[in-house]
Amino acid sequence: MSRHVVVAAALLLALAGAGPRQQPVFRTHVDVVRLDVLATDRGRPIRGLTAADFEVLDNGTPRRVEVVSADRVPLDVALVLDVSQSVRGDVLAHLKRAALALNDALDAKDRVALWTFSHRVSRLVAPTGDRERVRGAIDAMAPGGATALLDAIYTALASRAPGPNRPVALVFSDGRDNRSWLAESDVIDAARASETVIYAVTFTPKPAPASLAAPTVDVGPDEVLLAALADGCGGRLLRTASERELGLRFLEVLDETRTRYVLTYAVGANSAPGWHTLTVRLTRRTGQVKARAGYQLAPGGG
Amino acid sequence: MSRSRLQSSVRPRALVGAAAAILLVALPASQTAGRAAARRPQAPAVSAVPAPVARYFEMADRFASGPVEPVVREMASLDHTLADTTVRWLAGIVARDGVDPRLATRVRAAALLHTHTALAGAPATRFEQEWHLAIARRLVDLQARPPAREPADATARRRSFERRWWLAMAWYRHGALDLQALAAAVRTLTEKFRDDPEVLLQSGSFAETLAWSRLSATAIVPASLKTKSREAWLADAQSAYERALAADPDLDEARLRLGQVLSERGRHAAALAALSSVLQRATSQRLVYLARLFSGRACEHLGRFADAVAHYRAAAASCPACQAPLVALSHAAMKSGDAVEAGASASAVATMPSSDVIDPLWEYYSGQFRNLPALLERMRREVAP
Repeated sequence: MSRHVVVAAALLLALAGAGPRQQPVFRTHVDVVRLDVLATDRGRPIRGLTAADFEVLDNGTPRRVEVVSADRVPLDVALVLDVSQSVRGDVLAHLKRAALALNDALDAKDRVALWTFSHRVSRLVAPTGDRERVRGAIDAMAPGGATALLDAIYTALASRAPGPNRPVALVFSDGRDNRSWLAESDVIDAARASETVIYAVTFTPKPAPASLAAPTVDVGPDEVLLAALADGCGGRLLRTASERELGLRFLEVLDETRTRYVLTYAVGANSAPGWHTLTVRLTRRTGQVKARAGYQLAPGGG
Repeated sequence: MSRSRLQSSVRPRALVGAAAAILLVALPASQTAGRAAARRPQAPAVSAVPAPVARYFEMADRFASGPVEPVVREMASLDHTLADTTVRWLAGIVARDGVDPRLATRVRAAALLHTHTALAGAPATRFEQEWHLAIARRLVDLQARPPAREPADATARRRSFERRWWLAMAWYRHGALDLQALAAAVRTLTEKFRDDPEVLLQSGSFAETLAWSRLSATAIVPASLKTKSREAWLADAQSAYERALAADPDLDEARLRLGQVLSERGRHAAALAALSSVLQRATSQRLVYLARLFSGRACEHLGRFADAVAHYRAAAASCPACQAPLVALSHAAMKSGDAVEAGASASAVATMPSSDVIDPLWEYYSGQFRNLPALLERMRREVAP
């Protein structure tokens, strides 16, 4: 998970000349690092960037990168959805609509996997291009139980088989973890070392008026945790206080994934194993870049 | 999983002796009570039992004899006056002479009937539930007041009942994570039965729950219980478990929890020693499963990933429907650089068939709640006429 070692594969450099939505071809025996980055200026995605616009430092060493607009690389979207007891009723109904809307909006070559979690983690649908199958599973989602958010995110990341598609996890939650085996730091570390870009969508209902509020448990999603998870792998946290806006947030995530760039570079044979910290900057214009913080190079890699 | 109701596992008993029990109350001149009255003339004669009180104890006797559910339903719909009248009548007797052993048995049955009604009888409101528990507590207190002279075994029975009833209360409150009421129950237990190993185990698991990092996401934590640091609660838990084990070295639940607390306090080698002892001694599948999981985590902290993986594999084998060992196994493998095992174990979680099996890990911070139905049933059998 830590490093996209593409065995028998590298991004075809001639991709720039291919038609729109054409899937890249991976054909050589070069290990590459693949970065899925988002460039923005005052919150708006920057389009039309080329390799010359990016500077990538791998443990401080500049790397020569190839760039392809991300909308040409199909997605592997993992929907990781909280179906614990707290989503019963309207929240679940709107969550289903949001998931269905995203499912319908995907491109033909995109794949989607459907995960749900309460105290149990379930993969309802393995990565597939079969939209109807996903639709049926979304319709059948039922609420109940406690919340194993961390175990669910970790399992969705760890069980993904490497492949040419860009992995994106869209995690929805409206509550705090109270059942996972793993600790927060375990999952944050795993996410940082993963190639998957995590987007977290949270729903926090408006609080009751103070005069009516009774002592209660810490309700609402753990936005600090989810923001840390998303930031560590180049994604971000999107909040909503209205369940009716869940569909908008989900489609916002999908739109944003299509404005991202895929940067690749070869890993040298003499690269040191261990953690490689990545710095990605724009060189010819102002703006912010979100990308994963680094990757783990296994001994013998490169 | 709803924690608001005790899932009753109490099975209706055969109606053995039920008729006799009913007669015992319905006929005021029954031999048993009559003999007791003859022995102690100052105690009220059974013939003096007011009709409402007789009816009340008739219900208690039916409950003790079983079947349970009809009596619980009847009690749940009963006017409060009957119980209040009985409690006042009993208080009068206690004030004069104490409750004789035979009456004490029936008072215990009544206390259990109210307890069962509160916890398993689906009372209409929280107020109703708490009312039944308050009456039960009054009855427990009253049965504990012996007459001037009685055999030692009768006194021991009163004390044993009182101890177990308070343990049942603590277990119930623990399962519901009603921390305010749990704190009160633990305080009462500690005041009354300071060195009892089961009480120490309960006291330790209460402190351990208060140190649980995810507690605030699960339960209301009263301000009065936020005065100590997590480390201080863990220290309290460790001390309680060590005292429990000193009093009863066979209390493997305390040994398991001691191991987990030691690990939480960063003393992983000591934790492994305690958990290893559980693995050697325990026959309970639940204890072995949890000991494997906790041992795995301690091994991870010590950098012994191969040992951690072995523990997690064993845990997974002992509970094939449990996800935690597979998640743990995947994560430990990933940390040790075994991407194949990490992916395979995570995929095993992904493809696990749905199951109603409750992972013991999920109930760990509910203390001994899982044992509550069995405890109440044992207590009920002991008060059967």
